[in-house]
Amino acid sequence: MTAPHVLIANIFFAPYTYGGATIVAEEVARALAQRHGWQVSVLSAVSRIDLPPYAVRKIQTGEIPNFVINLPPSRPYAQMYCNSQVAEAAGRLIQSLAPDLVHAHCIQELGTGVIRAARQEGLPVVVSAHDFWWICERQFMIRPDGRYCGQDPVDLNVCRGCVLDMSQTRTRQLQLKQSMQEVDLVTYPSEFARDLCHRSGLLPQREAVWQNGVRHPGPGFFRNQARRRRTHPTPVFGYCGGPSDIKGWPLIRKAFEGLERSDFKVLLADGSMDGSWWKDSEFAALPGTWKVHPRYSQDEMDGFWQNIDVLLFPSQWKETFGLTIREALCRGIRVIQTNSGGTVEHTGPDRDRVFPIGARPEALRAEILHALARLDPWPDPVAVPDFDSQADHFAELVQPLLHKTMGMPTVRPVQLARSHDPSGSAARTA
Amino acid sequence: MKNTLRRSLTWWRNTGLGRRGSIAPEVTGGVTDLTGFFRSDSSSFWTESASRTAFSIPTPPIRRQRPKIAMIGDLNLPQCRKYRVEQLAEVFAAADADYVFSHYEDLPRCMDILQDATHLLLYRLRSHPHVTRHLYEAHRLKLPILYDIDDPLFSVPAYATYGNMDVLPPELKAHFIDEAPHYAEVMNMADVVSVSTPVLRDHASEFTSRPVFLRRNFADRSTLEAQPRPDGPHGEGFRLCFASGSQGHEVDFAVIEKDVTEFLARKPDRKLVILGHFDTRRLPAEIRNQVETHAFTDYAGYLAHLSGCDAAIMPLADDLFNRCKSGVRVIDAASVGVPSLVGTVSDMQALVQDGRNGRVIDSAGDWGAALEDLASDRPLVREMGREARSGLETRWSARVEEPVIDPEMIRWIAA
Repeated sequence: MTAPHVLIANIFFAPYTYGGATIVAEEVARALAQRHGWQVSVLSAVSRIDLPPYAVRKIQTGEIPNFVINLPPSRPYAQMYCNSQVAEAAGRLIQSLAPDLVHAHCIQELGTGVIRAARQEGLPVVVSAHDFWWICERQFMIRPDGRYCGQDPVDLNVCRGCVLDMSQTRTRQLQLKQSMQEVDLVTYPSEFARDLCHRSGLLPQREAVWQNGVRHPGPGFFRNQARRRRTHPTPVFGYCGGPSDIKGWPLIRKAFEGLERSDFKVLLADGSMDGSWWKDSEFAALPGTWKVHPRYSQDEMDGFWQNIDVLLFPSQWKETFGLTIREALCRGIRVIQTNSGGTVEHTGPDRDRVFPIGARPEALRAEILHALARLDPWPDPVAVPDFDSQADHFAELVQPLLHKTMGMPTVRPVQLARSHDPSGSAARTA
Repeated sequence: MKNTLRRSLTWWRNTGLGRRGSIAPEVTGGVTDLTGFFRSDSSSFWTESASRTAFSIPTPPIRRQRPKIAMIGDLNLPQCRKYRVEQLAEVFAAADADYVFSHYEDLPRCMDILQDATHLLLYRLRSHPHVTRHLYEAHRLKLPILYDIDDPLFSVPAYATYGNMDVLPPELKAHFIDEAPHYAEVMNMADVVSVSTPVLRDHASEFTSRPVFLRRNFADRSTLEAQPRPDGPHGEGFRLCFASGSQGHEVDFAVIEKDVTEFLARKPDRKLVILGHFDTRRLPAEIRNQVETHAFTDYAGYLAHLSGCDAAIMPLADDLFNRCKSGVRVIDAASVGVPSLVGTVSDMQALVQDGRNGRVIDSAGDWGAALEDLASDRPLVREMGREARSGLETRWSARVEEPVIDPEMIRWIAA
C-alpha cells in the first residue's frame, strides 16, 4: 500500500513564511513526510504584479512542493472567503496531484473554494481553524480601533459597528458555517478556540483539539544557555510581539518607564520581513539595556532563546494558541503573560500569576519586579509537544478518513522515534 | 489615541470601495511580461524564488500521480494541429493520462500548464527564445521531455532532394535548409522523440541518439464523425479526387499525369476533382474542362468535397521527404467511405490493403489500369470504400498499441 498523499492548503508556505500558522503547517508537513513517509503537497498564495491573476507556479523549499496561486492584491469582499477562481485552480491541482486527503489548514484569503473542490473530487477534508477567521471577518476579533472585541459567543449583531455591511457579514457567516458542516473533521489549536467557535455557532460533524507543536531546543542549547547564564547573569527579558498595541507593547513600555532599577536587559525580536519593527524606536529613556534581535528562522531560534530568561507576553487579546510561550517554556524560560485565551493551556509554572487583559502597567511592572527578585529564576524545561508529536497526532486523527478512501488498516500508527526531546517526556497534551 | 484613530481611518478608507486588501505582507514583483520569468529585475518572481532557495525542484513529480502531459507546440497549421496535437487527447485518455496543450508563443499559458504536469511534449518547434524558456522551465520542474515531429524539418538531405520544392521559389528551399539545424537542436534537447512514420523514425535516428518512437496519425473522433454520403458520389461519371494541403504537389501529380489524362480522355463524364493548392496551368490543356477545383478550405468543407468522389489518388514523387510522409489523406478519404489509390512512397501503403480497401501501386505498377478497373466496377469501389471506413474504426482509431503507437512510448510515459 502506498503512503497517503495530503494536499495542504495554507495561506502562506515556505519560502514565504509569515506567521505562526505557517510555521506549524510547514513543520507538520515536514514531519509527516519524514516520520510517516507521507507525500505532501501544498497550495498557498502570493500576491504579485508580475504574474497573471490566479496563475499557479510550483516552487519548493526543502522536500515539500509548494504550488503558489497569485491572488490579486485586492478582491471583492466575497472572494476573500469563497473564491471560485481559487476553487477552480484547487480543483485542477487536486485532479493532477490526486491526493488522498485535503487539509485546509489556514485558508483565510484562499477561502472555502478549496473545500468545495476537494468535496467535488470525493476527498475527505480536514479543516484546522486558526485565529478566528471562521467566526470573525476581521480574523482576529480585533476592532478597527485596535482593541480586542471580547465577544463570547460571537454575536453578529454586536459586530455591526465593526463591519461595513452587515448583510455581507451575515452571508459570509452563513456560507462559512455551511462549509464547516461539509468537512469531515475540524481541529482547533486549543480548547478555548474550540469552545468559543462552538458557542458561536460553528457545528462541524467532528472536531478535535489538535494542539500545535513547537520547535524543541536543538543539541547544545541547554549547554549554551547555562554558559550564558553563568558568564552573563544579568536577567534578560525577551519580547517577540513587535510595536503593536494588541501584543501589549505600550503596556511593556509604560511598565518599564516606571521601573526604578536597571540591572537587566531587554531583547526585542524583530519579526518583520524588512527589519522595520523597531527601526524608529528610541529606548534611551528606558531603564536597563535594550537591544533588537533580527528576525530569525526556525533553525535560528535557539540563538535568540539562549539569551532570554523571561518572556514578556502581555497580549491584549484572546489568542488561539501562543507558539512563542511554548517555545520559551520548553527551553526553561519563565513567562510573564496575560490571561489570553489558548495561550494559558500549558503546564508551565506561574500559571497562577497570569494577569488580565486590560490590566494597568502596574500589574506588569509587579511581575517584572517579581521576576527580578525571585530566588528561582530558571525553571525546569516544560514538556510541550513538538512538531513530530503534532504530526503523529494528525496521522492518528485522520486515519479513519484515510481508511475510508484508501482502505488503510485501522491500527494505531507506529510510534516512531522522536527526533529531539530535551525532557524526554514531551507528551501530547491535546 | 492618535494611533487608534489613524488605524481606524486607514481601515475604513481601505474598505470604502467594497474591496479588501490582501493580508499578504507585501505585494511584490516588478512589471514584466506576466510570466515572472527570466527577468534580471531583482524583484521578479523567479529571482526572488532563487534568492529564497525555492527555485529548484529537486525531484520529478511524484510517481503515483497520473501522468499529465503538457504539449507546447506550433499550433498554426490546421492539419498538424488536428493530427499531432488535438487527437493526442484520445490516445492519452486511453492511457489514463491527462493532456493539455498550448501554442508556444502563449507564454503565460505555457507556464501555467507546465506547473502540475509530469511531462513536457514539444511539437514541431525549432530553437527560439520562447522554446528555450519552456525547456528551462521543464528542466527546473524536472519534467521528462518528449519531442514530436511529423516532417523531416530537421533534415538538410530531405529538403535538398524534396522535389516539391522545385516548383516553389528557390529562396523557400534555402530557408527550409537553413532552418533544419534549429529543429535538430531542439529535438536533441528532449529525452525521447516521436515521429509519424517508420521511414521518418529511421531518418530521425540519424540526427539524434535519443530513442525515437513511432506514433502514427489516426482517425480521431471528429474524423469518425464524418460519414460516407448515403447516396454515393455525384452523378453518373467517375470522380477522382486529388487533395493538396500545401504548395508544390503538382510535382507529385506529375508522376501519374499521363495515366490520369488518358483515363479522363476515355470518357467525358470522368472528372478530376482537385482540392486545395494546385496550379492548374500545369495540367495538360486537353483535360482542363474535366477538372473541378475547390480552394483550400476547412476540414469539414474538405471532407464534404471528398465524399462526393469515387476514389482518391495519392501519388508521390519518390524522394526522401515524401518517403517520410504519413497516411493522413488516406484516413481522410476513408472516413467518408472513399477508397484510396496510393503508391509505395510514404506510409500511406500501411493503411491500404491492395484490392480490399483501395489499391497500392508500386513503381512498376500501372495507375491507368487500376483506374480503369475501378471505373468499370462501381460495386467494387463502394465495397472498398466501406472496407476503408471499417478499417479506420477497427484498426486506425485511438489506441495505445500498434499500428497507431509504439507501446514503448506509453510505457516510457508511465514509467
